[in-house]
Amino acid sequence: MRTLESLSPGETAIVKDIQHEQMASRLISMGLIPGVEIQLVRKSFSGATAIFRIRQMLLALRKTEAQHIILK
Amino acid sequence: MSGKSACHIALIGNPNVGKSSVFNRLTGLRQKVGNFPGVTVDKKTGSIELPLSGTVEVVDLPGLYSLYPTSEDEKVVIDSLLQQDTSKLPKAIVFVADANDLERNLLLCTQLMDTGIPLVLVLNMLDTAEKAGLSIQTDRLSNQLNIAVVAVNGRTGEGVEALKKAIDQQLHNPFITAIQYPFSDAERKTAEQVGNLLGEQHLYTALLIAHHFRRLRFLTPDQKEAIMEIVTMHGFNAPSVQLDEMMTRFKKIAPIVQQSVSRKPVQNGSKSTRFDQLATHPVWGLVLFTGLMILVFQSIFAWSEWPMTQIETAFGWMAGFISEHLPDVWISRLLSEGVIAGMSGVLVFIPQIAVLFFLISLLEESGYMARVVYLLDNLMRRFGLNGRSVVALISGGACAVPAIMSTRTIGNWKERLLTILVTPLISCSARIPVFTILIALTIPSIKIGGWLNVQGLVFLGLYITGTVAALLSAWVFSKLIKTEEPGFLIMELPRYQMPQWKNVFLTVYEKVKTFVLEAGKIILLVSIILWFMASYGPPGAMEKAEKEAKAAYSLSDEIPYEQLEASYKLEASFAGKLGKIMEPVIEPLGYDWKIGIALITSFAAREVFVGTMATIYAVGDSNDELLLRERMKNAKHPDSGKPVFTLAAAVSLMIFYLFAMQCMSTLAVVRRETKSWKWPAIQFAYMTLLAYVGSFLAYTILS
Repeated sequence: MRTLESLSPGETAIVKDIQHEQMASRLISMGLIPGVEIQLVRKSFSGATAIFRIRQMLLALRKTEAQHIILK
Repeated sequence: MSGKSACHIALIGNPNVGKSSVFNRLTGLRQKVGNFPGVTVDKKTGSIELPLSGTVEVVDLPGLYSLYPTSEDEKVVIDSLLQQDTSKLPKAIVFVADANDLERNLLLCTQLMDTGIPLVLVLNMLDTAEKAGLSIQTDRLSNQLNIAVVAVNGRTGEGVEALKKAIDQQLHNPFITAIQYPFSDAERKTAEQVGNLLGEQHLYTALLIAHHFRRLRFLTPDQKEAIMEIVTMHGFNAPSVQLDEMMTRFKKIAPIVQQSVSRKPVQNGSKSTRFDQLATHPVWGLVLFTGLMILVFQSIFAWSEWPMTQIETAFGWMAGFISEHLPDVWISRLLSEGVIAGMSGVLVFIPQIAVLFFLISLLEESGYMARVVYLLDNLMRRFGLNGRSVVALISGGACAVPAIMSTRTIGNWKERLLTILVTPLISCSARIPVFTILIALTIPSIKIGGWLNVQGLVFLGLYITGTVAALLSAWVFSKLIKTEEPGFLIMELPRYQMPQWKNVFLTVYEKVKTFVLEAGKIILLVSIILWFMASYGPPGAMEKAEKEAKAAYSLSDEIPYEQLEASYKLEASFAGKLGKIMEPVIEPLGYDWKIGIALITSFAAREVFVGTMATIYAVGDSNDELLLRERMKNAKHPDSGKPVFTLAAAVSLMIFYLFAMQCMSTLAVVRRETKSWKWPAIQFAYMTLLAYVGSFLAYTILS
């Protein structure tokens, strides 16, 4: 099972599922929904935070949050 | 619709869509800031004149992504839309959408349309969308959604007149779309029964009540219990139903967007993308940030020095005028030494607050601040803080008051509270005069290797000690304070844009006004109390002090009589008595009762230390620092004959001023921001403890 955390910079994937109900509410309302294309723009030095692109939006997530997002 | 009724419309939208620009364009300068009942969320209201509907109030609601929000700020919107008293409901909603990401924006838009409140859709930022290769057919979008769509440029004001017309139309002749959302069985039954229970006709509003009933204040405990029963009966699991609803809506929105928006590919690598690569770079991003912060810090000092001096001079002149031209009775002394000094203590902070918020809102408006949060989130998280805490900690180097006010941008309550609790440990500008005089007194002005000034090093050491103490305290508090609310980052990085001066200046104006009105009241009160304590003593004490001063003057007239009298009177006053009572407590730190008095009066503001020392050592003009330094250097303990200001005592005193919460302005602001006396009390207690233990250790080790 691939999660968002496994993406490398520049790589694009399709979101399949979000496995954290509380986070899912926030992420889905921001347009991070199953079926959407997501790209890893860059990771921080320690890898604890990263920036993703969904359509026109740049989104910063922590590694612990990216781990709950499953990719196709 | 009568023009005189308290009719209002609500401005709603996602965060970062330029909503405040549209608000400022609509209302101009006719706006005011208040609070939403029960929460510290700012409520901005303004008014517009419309030909058909008359004067209409516009309420700017906090930005949010959906009607199922997670933060307290955002929940305010739910409260506004689910009012029981229908006269308090907005008569229309102006929904501001970012044309660059219609799909996401339309989620909340369709939810709001289903609440049965007339709605006007505003498409903002069309110019940047066009640059990104998007072209939007507004009329097609309007037909598809069956609502009025107005293209507005919040930056230039283009389209605002058309928007006013559309609002006027909606108020005069409301057009409400039918509910578009396909209810599931469970949703329909739950909504119908909740609707029947409360007499709510509108199905989607009833559904929203079923989702949010736990926090709705207008529901009685009995009603909440009844709703609970309905919800349980239908197996209505709110969180998962909410996710399903949002997904269903997105599925309906996708084809609408597809038909009204066309994309053509554009070349990547725009200026802002290239800047972003620098700003979020693990190494260069930090270098850029450090550079910017040094610049901000420098500007705060450089730009606020002149106006601060002017304010102090002006109040000094006023106090002087009163004491010269009014009879020397208690009320004129209260005016000149209590009220005016207190007001000066409030107003003198304005330049720093204004400059700081000016620069911070520039960074916020441009979109840069979100990058800083991203960059430093991990480091700050190790201490229990949040990336956004950095802004407050740096601002604390100027003044803790605006710094604490800037923590509102931290969404997580625990992270925000920790930031508020530790920010006053960062050395603020008010400590500088105290450090300066103590360093000059006891640290030799020699240079290591010919260029590294020892005095400067001590100064730097004090700043570093304060910062380390702040971070470590945050870590300790993060272990002590328990919370249910998980800390998330999940943050949109907005597009870079030129800051809008109007927005920036309005922010500065609001912050300054809040500070003067809210914190000012408390500062003024405490100043008056301190004045009383320093000017009055137990019955007969002041007369006795006067006699003693006369006797001392007749022995030696080296010191002018007035200064001698002031010094004797301060010793005999309640503050002096308190200083003497305190002496046994502060003796282990190396202080005598005279320093005790300064510690008490410093509570008004730390820089008062110098003025108090000047009075005690009978130096008429507190600006004559050289004379004061000499008197302090020669001061001896009366019984042992040893000097008072030894290196150990001075370092101990510096540590005390570094850690102690001697600032009622800060306490007042903490109370305002946390809405209780509990946190300022805890903050006061732990900072005093830290100061006492730190000073004791320093004094014991060094002497």
